[in-house]
Amino acid sequence: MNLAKGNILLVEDDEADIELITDILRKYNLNNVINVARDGEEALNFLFRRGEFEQLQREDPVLVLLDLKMPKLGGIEVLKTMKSDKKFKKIPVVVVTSSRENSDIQKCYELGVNAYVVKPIDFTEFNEAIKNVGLFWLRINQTPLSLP
Amino acid sequence: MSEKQKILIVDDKKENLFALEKTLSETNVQIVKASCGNEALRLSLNHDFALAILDVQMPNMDGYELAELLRSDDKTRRLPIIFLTAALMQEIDIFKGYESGGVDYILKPYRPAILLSKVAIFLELDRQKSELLEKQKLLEASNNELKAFAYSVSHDLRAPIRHVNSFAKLLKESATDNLDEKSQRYLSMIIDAAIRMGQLVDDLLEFSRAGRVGMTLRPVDLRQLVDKTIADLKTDIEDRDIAWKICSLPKVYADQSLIQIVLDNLISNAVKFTGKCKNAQIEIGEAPNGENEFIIFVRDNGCGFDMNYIDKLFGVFQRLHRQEEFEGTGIGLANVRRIITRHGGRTWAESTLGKGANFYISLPRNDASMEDR
Repeated sequence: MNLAKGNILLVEDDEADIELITDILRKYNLNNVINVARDGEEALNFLFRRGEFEQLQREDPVLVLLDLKMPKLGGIEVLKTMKSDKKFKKIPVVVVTSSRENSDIQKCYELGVNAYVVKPIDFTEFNEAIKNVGLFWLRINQTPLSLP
Repeated sequence: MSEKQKILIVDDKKENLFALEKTLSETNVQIVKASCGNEALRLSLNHDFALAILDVQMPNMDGYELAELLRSDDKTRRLPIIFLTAALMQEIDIFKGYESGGVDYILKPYRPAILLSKVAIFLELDRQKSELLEKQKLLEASNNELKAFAYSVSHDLRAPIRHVNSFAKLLKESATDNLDEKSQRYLSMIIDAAIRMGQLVDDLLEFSRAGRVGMTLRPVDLRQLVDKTIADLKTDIEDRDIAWKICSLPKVYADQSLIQIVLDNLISNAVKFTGKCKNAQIEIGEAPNGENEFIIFVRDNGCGFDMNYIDKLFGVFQRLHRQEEFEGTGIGLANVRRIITRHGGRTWAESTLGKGANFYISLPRNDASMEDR
């Protein structure tokens, strides 16, 4: 599968972060379609094609960028559900969050997260972090050819 | 206390119960009467008693048997008991449950004043116990609130700071050509302020973490930790000429990662505050000390501090120098104090302005005084 063509699911409740992350990925020619879910519930509905996403024609994402603290359902719940699902556990999930709380990091790795990135305060560092996440997971990393 | 304390009185004779109740009516308590052991046990299920006064001589179940049964139940295991007995000397060994709580005897016929004074002591103990439990609950609640607070600071406060920094930087990039020098300077100040705010938040979180992470105590070689600190500082000190003197250091019983934070702070402070010295000297060693503790010092010949402000030195976000003189947020020594206090040790310092500073930490030689976590 050509990862550059796969779509990304960005699970993020903060408008500013959605704009920043999208802009940075585009700046480095990572032109994958970006689907945005504004909370954990929306993310799971998107993945499992429920509710408003029931009729949506799309492929499963090749990468999930997941915020942790969100309204309704948080990132931990999304991660837990994805990693206990036969199909979705094969999709790389990168947590991108403000929190460097050790308890969060522990929990995410216990649940099988593929990477955990703390959003740096300084924009130059933030830019670098998102660029590296994008380049690694969308260009360098290999995922299974097709999801069952 | 919101509720009245309750006393259980047990006697098979109505007139005795009546007399006892009358005596106790001087105290501000609720009296609950039982005329046999079984009734007393039943009542103890539904009431929280501060004290039980048991007549020893009762048919079927005597006072000692009743006391044994009360001691064997979790709810009443620690219920203080006063036995009323006519013949003390022959009976004193019958009851086995002394170790598990307050037990007292009163010989019949008793003098009300003596009974009342014994009752008063048990009631006071019970009151203090309830107050302690109450306080403990409050502490636990406020501790949990603090944890939740730190968690939400970690998640929520960093985002807006990051956004101020990010968008100011983006604006600076996109609008540089259209902005005059002054406006560009304003933007730079916004960017820097956000970074500093971020640093303060991160430091505060670090401080809060140093106070609440679990401690794993094991033997720690302080020399190794000092070497690691200095190795980590390598890039900061490569253009500096510092004369290090590291004397022999003990092995202590401590949490390695927390003590590393302590040494990182003390040693990087020494490096920082000797930054303007021509011949910087930093000495780390063990001070002669008492029997119960190790005393470690970090000594430098840097700018020192004014002893008038010693009280502020270990406070959160307290700084004794302006930002332009020496960078920092003022959390380092607060962290040091918090970590050492958790280990059951002490922190102090002495200095003469312009002539360097001595920082001391002590750690207990045994682990008994350390926080049990």
